[in-house]
Amino acid sequence: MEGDGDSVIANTTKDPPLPLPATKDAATTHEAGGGDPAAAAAGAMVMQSAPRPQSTVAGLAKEAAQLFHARSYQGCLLILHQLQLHNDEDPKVRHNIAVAEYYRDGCTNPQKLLEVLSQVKARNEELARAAEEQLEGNSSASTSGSTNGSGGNGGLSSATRTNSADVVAYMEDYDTSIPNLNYAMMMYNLQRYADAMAVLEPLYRNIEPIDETAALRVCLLMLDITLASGQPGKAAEVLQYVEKAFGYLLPPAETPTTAPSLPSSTPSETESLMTTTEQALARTSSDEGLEDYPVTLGSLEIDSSQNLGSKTPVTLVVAAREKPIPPVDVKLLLHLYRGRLFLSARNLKVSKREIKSALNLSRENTTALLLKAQLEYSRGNYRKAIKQLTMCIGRADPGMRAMVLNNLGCIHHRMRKAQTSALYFTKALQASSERSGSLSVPAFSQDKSLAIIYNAGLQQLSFGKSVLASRCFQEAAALYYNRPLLWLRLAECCIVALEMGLLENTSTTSREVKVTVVGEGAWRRVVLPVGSLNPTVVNGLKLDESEGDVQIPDKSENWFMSGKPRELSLSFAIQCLQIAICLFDRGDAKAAEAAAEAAVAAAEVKDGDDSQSSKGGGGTPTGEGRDSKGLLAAASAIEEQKKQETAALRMWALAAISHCQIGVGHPLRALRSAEELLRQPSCARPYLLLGHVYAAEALCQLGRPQEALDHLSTCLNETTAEPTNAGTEDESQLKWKSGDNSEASGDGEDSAAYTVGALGDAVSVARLTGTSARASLYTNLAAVYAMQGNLQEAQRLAQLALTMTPTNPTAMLAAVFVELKLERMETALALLKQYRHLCVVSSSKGLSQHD
Amino acid sequence: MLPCGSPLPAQIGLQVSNLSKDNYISVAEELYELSSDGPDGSIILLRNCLEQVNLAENDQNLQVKFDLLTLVIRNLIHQPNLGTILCEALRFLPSVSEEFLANLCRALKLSLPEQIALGLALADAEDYSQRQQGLAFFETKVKELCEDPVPDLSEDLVERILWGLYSSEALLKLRSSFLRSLPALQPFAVDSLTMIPFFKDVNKEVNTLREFDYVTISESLLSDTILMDMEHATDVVSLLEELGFDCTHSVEHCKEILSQGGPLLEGDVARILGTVARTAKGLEEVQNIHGPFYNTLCNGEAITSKLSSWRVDILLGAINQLNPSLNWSLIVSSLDYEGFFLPDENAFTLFMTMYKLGCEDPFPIDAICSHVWKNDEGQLSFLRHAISAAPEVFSFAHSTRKLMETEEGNLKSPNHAWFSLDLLEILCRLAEVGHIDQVREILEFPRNHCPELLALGLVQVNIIVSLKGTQGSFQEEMLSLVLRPQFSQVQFTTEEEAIAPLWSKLWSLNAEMLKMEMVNLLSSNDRSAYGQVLQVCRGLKVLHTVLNSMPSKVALKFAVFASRKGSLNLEKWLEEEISIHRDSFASVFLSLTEERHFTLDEMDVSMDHSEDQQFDISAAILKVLYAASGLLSSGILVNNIARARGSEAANSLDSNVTPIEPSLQEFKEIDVDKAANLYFERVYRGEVPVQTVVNMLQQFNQSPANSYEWKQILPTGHNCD
Repeated sequence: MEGDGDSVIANTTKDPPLPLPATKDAATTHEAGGGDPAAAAAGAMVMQSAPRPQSTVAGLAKEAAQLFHARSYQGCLLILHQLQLHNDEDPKVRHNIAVAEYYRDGCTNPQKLLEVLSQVKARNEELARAAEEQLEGNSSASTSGSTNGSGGNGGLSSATRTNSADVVAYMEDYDTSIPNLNYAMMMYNLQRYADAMAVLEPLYRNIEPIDETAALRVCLLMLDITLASGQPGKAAEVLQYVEKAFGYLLPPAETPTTAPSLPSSTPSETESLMTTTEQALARTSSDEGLEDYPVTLGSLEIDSSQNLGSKTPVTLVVAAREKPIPPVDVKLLLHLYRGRLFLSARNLKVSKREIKSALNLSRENTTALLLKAQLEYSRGNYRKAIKQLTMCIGRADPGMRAMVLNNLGCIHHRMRKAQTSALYFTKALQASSERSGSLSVPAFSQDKSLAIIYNAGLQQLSFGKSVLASRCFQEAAALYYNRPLLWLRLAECCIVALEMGLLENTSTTSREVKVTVVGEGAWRRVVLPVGSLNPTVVNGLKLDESEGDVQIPDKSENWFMSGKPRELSLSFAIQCLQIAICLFDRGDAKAAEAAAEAAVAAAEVKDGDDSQSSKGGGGTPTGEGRDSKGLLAAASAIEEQKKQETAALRMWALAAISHCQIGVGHPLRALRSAEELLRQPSCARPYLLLGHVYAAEALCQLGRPQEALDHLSTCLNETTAEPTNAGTEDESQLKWKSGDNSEASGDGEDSAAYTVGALGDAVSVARLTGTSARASLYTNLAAVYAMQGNLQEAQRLAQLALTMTPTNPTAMLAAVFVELKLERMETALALLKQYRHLCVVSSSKGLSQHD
Repeated sequence: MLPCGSPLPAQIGLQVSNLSKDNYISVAEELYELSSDGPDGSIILLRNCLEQVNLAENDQNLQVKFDLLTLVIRNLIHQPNLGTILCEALRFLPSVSEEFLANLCRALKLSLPEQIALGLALADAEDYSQRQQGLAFFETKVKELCEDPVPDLSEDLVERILWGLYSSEALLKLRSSFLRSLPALQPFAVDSLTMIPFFKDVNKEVNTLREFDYVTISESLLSDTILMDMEHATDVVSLLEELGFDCTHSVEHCKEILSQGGPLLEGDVARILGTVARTAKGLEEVQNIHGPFYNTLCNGEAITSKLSSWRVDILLGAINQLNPSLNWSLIVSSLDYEGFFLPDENAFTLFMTMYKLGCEDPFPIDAICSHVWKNDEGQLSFLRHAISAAPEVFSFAHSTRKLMETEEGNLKSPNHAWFSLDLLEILCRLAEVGHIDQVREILEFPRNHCPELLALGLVQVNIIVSLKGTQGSFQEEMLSLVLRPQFSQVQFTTEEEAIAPLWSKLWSLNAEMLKMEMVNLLSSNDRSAYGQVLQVCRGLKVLHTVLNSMPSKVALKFAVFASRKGSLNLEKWLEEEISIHRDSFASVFLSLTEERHFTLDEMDVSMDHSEDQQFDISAAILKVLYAASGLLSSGILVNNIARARGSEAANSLDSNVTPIEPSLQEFKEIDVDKAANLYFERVYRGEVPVQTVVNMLQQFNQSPANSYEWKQILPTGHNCD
């Protein structure tokens, strides 16, 4: 699920994403200055140069913050510039100026802001270092309330009580967490999640000293990113931390365990909780007026996270409020996050409860409504889901509208309304590209067109429009380039195009046989093309030279042109598949690492929990324990699901590589992939069949029919062994997709829909384990026997195949071929006549290789 | 894989070993052709070249062979299956080592990238040591490349190298140095789609590749054309079907839906009509997706009423407004799309209603009947309902080719279906492509109700059957079915009396088909057939024509029958036939007389016949045959005739029948000279090969009866040599 964690920030993000922190920064400073003892300390820096202005400065800062929140950026800037006059070294002021300017300019110049942010960061670090040094000098005799606070250095804990206020204030002055957070948010908004995470991680790891609101934002941003990038484990961890550290733990009463029995009690409990949290947060929320726009960010879930077949789930939007986030909103957010997490773990019951709680808090919350739609979608209640979405769309802004349309597209896809679904996707893309005026960063951040276009591509592919689909996927690669699924889909496009005869140079398209005459006199020969698989299927790669110059096809020069879509070819398919496999491998390696780390981390967390819970005392330890278990279980369920998907996808990829390598006439590699496929642990039945057949084909091409025969016979034995199980086994193979939620029972009829797409291949093979697969095995065996000269056997098998599937042209051709080999022209002719209505459209791979 | 004994290896081997400066170009071209289809040729070619280069140290053509090898290798390097070809070609070479590759590359002056490609290809080998050698060579060369970058590496090779580097953990270090030097090697590589994963860390989180700055400049979040392409890819027809009946709520609304895709063209309209007609009886499941669709994507108020069927007037109104200049005959021809099918009569009626709403012209029958569609099932479903439609729904009256109308016919085929030759023809064609049973079923009705029309139509249908085999074409089969009852209505009388006008019409329309049908009838075991056919022939006064075009065997039997009935002078007819067809006829006749029971039974029971009669016939035939012996070229045949006649004569002696045969003496005097000359004349004209005559003469030589006569002509045979 993609996060709209943005949202969180988002709220910030959306309209004034950055500002909040920024403002906050400004605000805090002031606030502190105004009412707090700490203010003195805060003011310290300012005061350094001009002791007198302290109060003025504080006043100005406060005013600036107010103006900022009122969106009067110009006025705010005026005051900030005034402040700058007091101390133009103050990084905070610079920072706030940059943020205000960024907003004033309509959020269109992120580069400038980023520069200032890094400068401020650098400057702060410098100052902090300088101050530390200074402090070290004075450390023994610190003077409280003086211009320079003194105290322990970084390790706050060491500071004495008296010092601590100063020290904290001090550190706050030089604190880089706010600029860092802003930086991360900017990165997030620019959709550079990895960069954002790189900044956030350290912040999160050392979150204690950070101002509470900022810390919350750090966490929420983390949540958004982790959820968006499919790291449920980490997300669960962060979520748990937030619940504990910020005192929102309690809602769990409503959550998983006890649930069904006490629906009535829930409301009251919630209420009470709310009050408590509010109190706790009272200080923060007392701040000035919140921004009144709940901002919604949409996020989309892309189907990529689920595997192939399933179409995308829906989205979410989260609305958050302004900077000092009112506790109710935080609660809301947490419910939403939990809902999302459980939803992607397909724990629909719990997720339903979470969403309900969220809706209880805010009836109108769009994110919650969207999540609810997604829930209904997951349960197979498409009509309800549609209803929910159409309710949302009325009040949606364009970005939001795009997401709702996308979700509608997903639902219709599941309902097998292919064209309607495609149209929704198209409209979603149009909506997301409609824009008045120049593009602003928030708009960019909110833009989900890459996710939508992936979905659209999938939809096109399911109609067989492989060329358009591949363009969509290539476009989506900008965001999903590290997802193996994307590459598998691209390869699938190539294969589908080949099957439909869209690739050049395959004989599938033309019925004519091209004959070349070579040589002279006694040496004159007529050259017939060998089979349908020309090694140069690669578009345009056919070298038409006879002079000796090797011509590099023009295409290759263009390949590199950025932005130019790659054309489909078998070579391209192979590349994509290799990339996918490479990503699987890397993913496995990472997962192994991560698992090791997680083990360590888990141990730590546990310690932390223990200490905290013992300290906190008041909490409900059991509820808490259960709750966290629920989250973690959800996370691990997702991981488990992913693992299975990966295994299945890897098999698909290997089979596809083998297929394509045979297509380009590279049997050595085809054989290698097929053998690797057969080595996969618990290789599913359909893949087993494919593996053996491809291996046999490759071996035939390599002139080793005996080995091919072994493969085919093994395969035949395996399929005959337990023919009745075939169906059920395959079903269960595929079942992992549909989840095992009791509540998802409505899904039953849809489970087939899950497998549209790449897996569809496997499924069709699986279905074939009945007669068609058997018949094609017989056909292949017949071909191999014919190659070996065992014509009797060949004839027997060809006949078997033909009787099994009288409408299969390949089987018929095999029979004819064997008859011809036996020199029984009459019989062959009679066969041809008898089956003349079978026009042979598809190329018969098995045969063409041998005759 | 090559079949054993394929001439390909031999040919390639020969060409390579015979290579010289002079024939270089032509040989190279030929070899290119031989090896360009499939990997086998390439493997053999490469193997041969390598062997030649290895063997021939003192070969004066060595240089040329090197050139060829270079050419071959350079050519192969860009093939995606270089690995297989190289490894297979090297499979039988004893020692393939890194050194071998290095030497080869040096000798051929291959460029560094080419060397790398070779090394990589060898790494595909199944043999472990070969693979290691290949990898080692590859590693060395890539190192060289990193130190001394060659610009403009082909991106294909860049990718291959990268995959090579990723294949083994041992190459990790080299991998990073290669990636570092990549920009120098191929500056665009970084932007290539398939390179992305190499340059990006595989974090769970990613940085989108879409740069904010870039997007702001281009002002578009996606590539320019893709949205437009997607819009054009919208298929309004499926949309219509998915959304259901409510689409025809109002013209405006319908227009809105139909304009979601590109402009509405004839093909689309055809599919719309087809879809609407097919789904007329109801859509499988109405999931009520129309309402939300309408609310979200169209700007209208919610629709309250729910339609339970298509409102075609609205639909057609919308179509005509969207594209007023539709060509309806093009629309009808466009019905040949995958999925067109009219399940029942209602569907057909609805379709025609729509057609009439859209276009006032008569229905373009040509578009339906001129050729077999790709979707022949669909075509058949259309025709089936069109045929049985009421005249006000559909009429074939304006077919381009049709039978003369008659009152009676009009009654029996109110919508003129069976007057239409176009229709009949397309039905026959459809039967030929595998719909025999259905077409038969369709023709059942006219066969029972207006057989004359059908017969007249069938003889005019003109189709060429491609795979004409033992079983006749559908057209013939059908004609038999229709005509048998007609024949059986013919009463055989001894008088020549008028027959139904149908026959003369059939005769004048297509005498060939009628004759063929007669033959079929005669060959059947129907005893009354002879009489019926004869009666018809007499009625048409075409007995001779018919006889002449029949296969000999049937013709003879029929002639015998006719002569019995007094319609034919058998002997005269026989003589004529023999003089025209000679051997072929004679042998058939002879074989028939030899089947002692070439019976008259099969002709007509009512006809009283006896052994005698049978003898008479056989004797008459033999007499004519014998008399015509001189015209025959086959000695054996003549011999057999003589022998048959001999035994016949013997029989007749027993039964006191006077031999009809002329005496030997007679024969000699009258015929020998004439016959001999005839033979030689034919030899001279090339009609008979000399050898045949020689053989014949030899046989005569052995035959005591004729030895004398034939010996006589030998002296004149000097030109036989």
